[in-house]
Amino acid sequence: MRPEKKERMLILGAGAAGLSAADAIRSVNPDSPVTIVSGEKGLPYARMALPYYISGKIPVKGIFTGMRRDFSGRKIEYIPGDPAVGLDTHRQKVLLRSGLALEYGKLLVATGSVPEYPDMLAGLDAPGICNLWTLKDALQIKRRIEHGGAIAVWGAGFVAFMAAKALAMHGRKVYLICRANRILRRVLDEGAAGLMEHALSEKGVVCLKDTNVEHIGVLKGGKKHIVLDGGRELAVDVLIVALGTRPNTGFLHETPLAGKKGLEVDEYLGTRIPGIYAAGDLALVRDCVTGERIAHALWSAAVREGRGAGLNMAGDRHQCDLSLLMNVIDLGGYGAVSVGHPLLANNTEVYQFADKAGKAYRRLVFQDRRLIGAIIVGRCTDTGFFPALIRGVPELTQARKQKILRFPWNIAPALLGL
Amino acid sequence: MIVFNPDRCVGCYACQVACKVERGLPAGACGITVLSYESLDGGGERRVHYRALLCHHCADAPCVRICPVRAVTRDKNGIISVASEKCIGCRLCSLSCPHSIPSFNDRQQMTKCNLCIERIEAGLKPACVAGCPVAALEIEAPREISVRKRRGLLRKRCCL
Ligand SMILES: Cc1cc2nc3c(=O)[nH]c(=O)nc-3n(C[C@H](O)[C@H](O)[C@H](O)COP(=O)(O)OP(=O)(O)OC[C@H]3O[C@@H](n4cnc5c(N)ncnc54)[C@H](O)[C@@H]3O)c2cc1C
Ligand code: SF4
Ligand code: SF4
Repeated sequence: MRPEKKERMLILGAGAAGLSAADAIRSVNPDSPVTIVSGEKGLPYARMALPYYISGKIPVKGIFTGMRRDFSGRKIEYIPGDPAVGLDTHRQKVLLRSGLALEYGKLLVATGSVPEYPDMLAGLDAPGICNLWTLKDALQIKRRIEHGGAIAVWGAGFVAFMAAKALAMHGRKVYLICRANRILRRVLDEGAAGLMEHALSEKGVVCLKDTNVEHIGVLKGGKKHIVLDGGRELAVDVLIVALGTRPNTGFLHETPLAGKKGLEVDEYLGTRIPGIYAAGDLALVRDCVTGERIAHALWSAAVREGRGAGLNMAGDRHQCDLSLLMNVIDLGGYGAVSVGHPLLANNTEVYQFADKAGKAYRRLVFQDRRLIGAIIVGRCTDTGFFPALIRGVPELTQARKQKILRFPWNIAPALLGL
Repeated sequence: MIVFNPDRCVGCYACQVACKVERGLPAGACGITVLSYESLDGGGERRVHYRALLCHHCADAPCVRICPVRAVTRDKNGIISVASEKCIGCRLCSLSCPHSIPSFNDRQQMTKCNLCIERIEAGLKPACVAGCPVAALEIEAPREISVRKRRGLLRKRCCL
């Protein structure tokens, strides 16, 4: 008989992917030994809920995704605050920072991604300059802006937008420093980005576009002094750096798994080493529109992949590639949703619709009959239908496509066969 | 769960009104949505068709799985409901729901059909079912319907 330790399903990471994998394993296999290791101390929490804690929408206890009793009740061993530092694929062992070595039968790598930190900030270890990535970051930001203050957010991607929005909703002055000529340029076109920038400015966010940071220093009293190209200067209490992320695979550098862009997986989320799976921000999964292997860095993708990997670790054959891009940009009821690839330019037909008041906007992008991307701005009740449609289920007929184009503001009737 | 009979519906929207009044929902948010569409039949007569968007209280509900703050839960009877005060308003549930059911209140927190559990516990029918003047809506307890029968029912009478 094999030693029991070899049957252990070991999950590295207690984020979206890791926890859904544990749920999935338990749903089919109530007794197998499951261990979850988290690099962070304390209970697992939802990274994407951090901005809402900062804005005051939910209390800090609202961000936690698992309680100790949830783990013990389901016979899951939870080891927090002890990150993996090495992997021995021959002996099937993971080494933790404390020196603990855990043997595994099946291993899931779900350690997510880590934010980029520019070289310019190296050596400038000043309080109040941080990412918005961990609970520690969020607690620091919240403490520093408790009694007012100005904040600069460096970056204009999704996390930067969430940070700016959260702080503006909290009533603080925010500068968004954007290198490009529009915010959220990977998911929104110019029309939609313009509407979002306008909505942000109404909340008190100043979008500084086509702008780069030239120098950052710390003034007497602790304020951060930011010199922008063009000579403009800002003095802020907090600087949030949100310049993108990279896969968190540092501890795999001595294994054949490590890649610069992430971990390659097959359609069952297995890596090239049998018994080792990957899911979440670091997994290179096939995109459902382009077929390209890419790490989507989305909560929705992480949950889906975590579940698929968990089922496969438990012995199922659950095909789980074909990931879908979807971003929700909400500003207190007014916002945009971007699904699929609305900015793809080859062999596409692009249809744009705007209402008279200039508040609602839709961009629908087709490749032949198939909808491959959509941007939806303004209040709507039909967004839920877009993901399935872009995945290609149900397949659109020419008649339904025409109907969607005739009534673009609510696609539900066309899909329900009305 | 609630089953909709399109042949009975007359498109009066009393169910939507009843739901909004019962749950105190603002404009744009409702636990049930009736859609209508006109067509011409073979003899050139105008016909109106109705469909209802209703929560299916799915057996393996995507909205429960995706919610990052675990605000959406399933109870022992299989009813899927949301604790709105926990919701951050990320809208992932509405993007993951195959029927686009979750809607949002003024605080941008999710609300959805909870089958009027308090009414059921008091021996009443859900507000939409009670409010429908032509009995186009019926309530069936999810635990009493086997999965297969449920699918059969859905195909016969429901929206998708
Ligand atoms: C501020 C913010 C807002 C966001 N908003 C959205 C949004 O609205 N919608 C959306 O789709 N996505 C959003 N995201 C992205 C989303 O949170 C991530 O895509 C998702 O959390 C990825 O899940 P994951 O399981 O891959 O990684 P994570 O959730 O990051 O979890 C990684 C886990 O691995 C652990 N870990 C790290 N290193 C080690 C190690 N060496 N050993 C063991 N454990 C380790 C960590 O402690 C953590 O538990 C947001 C992200 C941020 C930061
Ligand atoms: S809201 Fe949608 S996904 Fe959730 S139970 Fe209802 S129908 Fe299913
Ligand atoms: S909108 Fe609210 S209920 Fe829906 S997934 Fe997000 S947090 Fe959960």
